[in-house]
Amino acid sequence: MGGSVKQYWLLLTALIACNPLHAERLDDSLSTQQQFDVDLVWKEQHGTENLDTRELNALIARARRVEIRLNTAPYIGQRGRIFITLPLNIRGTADSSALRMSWTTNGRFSNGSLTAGNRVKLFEGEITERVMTDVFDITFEIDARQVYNNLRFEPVYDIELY
Amino acid sequence: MPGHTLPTVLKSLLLVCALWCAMADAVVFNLNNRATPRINIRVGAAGSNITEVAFTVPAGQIGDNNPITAAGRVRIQVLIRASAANPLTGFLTVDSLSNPLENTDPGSTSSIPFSEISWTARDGDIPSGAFQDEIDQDIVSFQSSQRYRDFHTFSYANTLEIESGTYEGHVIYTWAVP
Repeated sequence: MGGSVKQYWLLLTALIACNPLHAERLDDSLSTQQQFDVDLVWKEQHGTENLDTRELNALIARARRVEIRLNTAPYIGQRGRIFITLPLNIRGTADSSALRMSWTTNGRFSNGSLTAGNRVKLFEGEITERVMTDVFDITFEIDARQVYNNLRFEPVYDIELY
Repeated sequence: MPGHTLPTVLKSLLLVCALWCAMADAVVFNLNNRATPRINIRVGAAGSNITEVAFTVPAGQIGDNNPITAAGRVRIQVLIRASAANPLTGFLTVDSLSNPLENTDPGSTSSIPFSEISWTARDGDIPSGAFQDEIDQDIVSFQSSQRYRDFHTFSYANTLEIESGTYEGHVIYTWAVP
């Protein structure tokens, strides 16, 4: 039984580690569109004469007018920081760090960029709305040498209260 | 905690954590790979004009085995790109047989094989070599995605006792993915 308890504790610790207690995941299922299909194409279509290797291999995809709606109802009246995270492992690529996501918004959240496995702050301040909404224009860029298939991933949003 | 064993409590905690980790549906992005493979070649100056390489052999030195090096370098550049999903290999070949160097004097039937001409690469990316009077002579091959550029300086071996005059011919480079 001792071994069994130890196994449970290890599993519990692993689960907690993957979702730190001080950050709570926000539900974005209220967003009007749940799936976006965009095409990855060469960033530099013409004038390839003087491109370096990085530029030569750059693929780009753009997702326009992506409305993200985060359920912040449980945090009304509290102060928090909202983050966006790209998962570390992204299906379709051998090296997720080759993927960069950058975006501009209408101003409710911050503009920014990040690479897979990292997170960036979108908002800091008092939560005053039950649903926080903004429209993102997103650009994805990745090295073609790391693209083995179509890519599929879900950015994750979480909140830290302070 | 009467009535509950420790594993039972832990199981409950695990269930809560697992549900927390697997929270509601999320916005999903599908990035569909539409990177069309491409190849490109440039030999000499940009555009459609044919770049010329000229050797001048003084009348008294024809066939004396002293090589003559052409002035200037010829730029050779190849590009191949494709995503890792569909990697490609490009092959650079040259045809130096179909259009040999022929005496431009209408009454002459003299010619010089292209095997009299070799080249030296500045960088070695597209390596040094010599024409072999073949239709499909391999020069180099590259895998995607890369672009190589080199500069070749051509040299005429001057080993043949030939009729004096002006000789013209051309070679054709081909960059292809089989």
